[in-house]
Amino acid sequence: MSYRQFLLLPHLKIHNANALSSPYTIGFPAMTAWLGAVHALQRQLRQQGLSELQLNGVAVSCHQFDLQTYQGPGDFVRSIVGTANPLDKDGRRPAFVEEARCHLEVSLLIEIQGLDSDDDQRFIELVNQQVQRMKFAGGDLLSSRPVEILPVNEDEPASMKKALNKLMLGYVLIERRALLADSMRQEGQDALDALLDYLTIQHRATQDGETVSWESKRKTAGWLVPIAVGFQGISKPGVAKHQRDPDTPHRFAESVVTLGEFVMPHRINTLDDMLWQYRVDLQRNLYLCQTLSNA
Amino acid sequence: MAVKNDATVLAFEKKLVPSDGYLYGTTWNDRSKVKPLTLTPKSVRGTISNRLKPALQNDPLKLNAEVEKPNLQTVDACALAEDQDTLKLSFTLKVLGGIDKPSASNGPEFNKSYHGVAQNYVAETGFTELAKRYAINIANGRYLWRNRVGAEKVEVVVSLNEGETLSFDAKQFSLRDFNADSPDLQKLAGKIAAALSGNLPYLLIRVEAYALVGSAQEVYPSEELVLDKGKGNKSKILYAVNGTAALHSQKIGNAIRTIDTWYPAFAEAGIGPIAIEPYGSVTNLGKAFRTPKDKADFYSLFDRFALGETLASKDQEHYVMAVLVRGGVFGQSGKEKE
Repeated sequence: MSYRQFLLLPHLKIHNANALSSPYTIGFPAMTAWLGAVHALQRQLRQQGLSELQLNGVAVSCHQFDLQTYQGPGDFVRSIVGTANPLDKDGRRPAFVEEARCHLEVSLLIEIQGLDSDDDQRFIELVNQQVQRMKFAGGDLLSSRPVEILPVNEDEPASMKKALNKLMLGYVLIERRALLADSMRQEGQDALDALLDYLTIQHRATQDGETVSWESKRKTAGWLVPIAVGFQGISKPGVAKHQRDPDTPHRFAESVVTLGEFVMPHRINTLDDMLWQYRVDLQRNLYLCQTLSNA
Repeated sequence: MAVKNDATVLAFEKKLVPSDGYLYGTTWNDRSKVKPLTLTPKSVRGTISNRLKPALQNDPLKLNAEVEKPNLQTVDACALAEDQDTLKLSFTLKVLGGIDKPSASNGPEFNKSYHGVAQNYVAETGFTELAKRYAINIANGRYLWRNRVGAEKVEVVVSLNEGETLSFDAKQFSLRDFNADSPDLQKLAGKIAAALSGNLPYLLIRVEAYALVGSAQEVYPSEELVLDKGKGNKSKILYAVNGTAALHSQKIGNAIRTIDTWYPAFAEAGIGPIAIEPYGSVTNLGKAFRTPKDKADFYSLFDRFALGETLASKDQEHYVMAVLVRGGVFGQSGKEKE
């Protein structure tokens, strides 16, 4: 099966999206946010009559990213640029809640299945309309270009290239969980140490006679970032008071953070490397987003 | 007793979605040359002008010593260039429908009645009153905020979805009332009403406001809220997007929804319409005009309205719906119900 069909949502300009991707990282919105948006889109489209439609995986290409932080001249840390809440009923200013926001421009490449080719035109129209009404990662969509359907034959380099070019000038997020797993296994590090090990920049000096030369580098080449990819259940599923949906069992969970890497799309060889999907592992209470090649 | 609003998780997405407003400099007579305005940090030697303690005031020597302190400050500033006399502010505004569905809700009683109530409101009013007020706030250039003050002329150009453009002389519209009327205004209001009531899938308009403020005059982008400014000594940080000075989208949204003339103290307060807020709060006065004590705040009205009770007047219904158009999280703590 090398013939696949994709929906491209090109150049979505989003502002004030949630950049608080996990309790200890800020930056690019969590993968759960993008998969959630695609899931919402699928539900909407199914309600509109495309009941067989499946949106199966999503690749996110980031063209532009503007994190709302401030770093004054000479500052080491950056501080979050906040927003104030309206006054409360006594006319007093409520406490500030710091929430990291970002403005960004992304393209989403979504794998579709179950679309009748007679429905193509209607599908495109519906998506164009629906996308405008949606929020992405908690942010508002300001503008987007018209959506496209892209058939891709993975055996044909030209067809692959055509699809990947649509995501260019940007960086797609891929999963580098294997790096963490390796160093945990080989060096016996715990997960957080292993994660930090890949993110720190180490400065090393080498002396050659009189001259000392400094070298600054990370453990591995590549634009590695910590990313939030899902949740670990930490209580038994059950019923909590006032939960949002009374018919679905509810459980407490904490974020799962791992390593990801932003790469230029032209370096992608298999589409599965960048297509993300939900995976549930009920044995280990894990609710994850994973790339198809890592599954 | 009547049923109670049982939703503890309740949220509405905003239906008026403004973008950030970008500031450009141009000239009134020739608008073909437009340049993005940038921020310039400047360091100035200020004067000591704050109120001093009585002990200092009464001791001339100490007072002198105090006043002679240099009081150096670094601030961001933004101004037109020497050859530009006009500020151009440009933003887009998206109008969405679907007011009859909260984006999150867990109250079965609430869900049962609210849907019908909202649809009733849409069917009865077609959002014409609110849309007209929003349209007037677009036409009068209120979102220029301080940049509108003292501007000699202000012109607002609105481009609709289909490429049609409408142009308004903002100074013709009062900021104090919503009595204005013109064919262009009706066209704009009609579009907004259609989008809010769901007859259009969505409406995206582009607004360009030109304010003749004078050559090289200072203009006012939004100030950033940075709580922990670090060791840098800049005391005022302004907002810019990719190097272009800008107004926060929240600030533009606030101006467009400044349509509340229905609050109890409207006649006495003498400040004209206030922004639609659940407690009718006005930040620069530090005052909330709709307090739960008067039963005029959003929650008192909404709980009755959403469950199908009729409110005292149509105006209260307009207010409640306008808060829902604004959006927000309106759930109540589960504890208070028991």
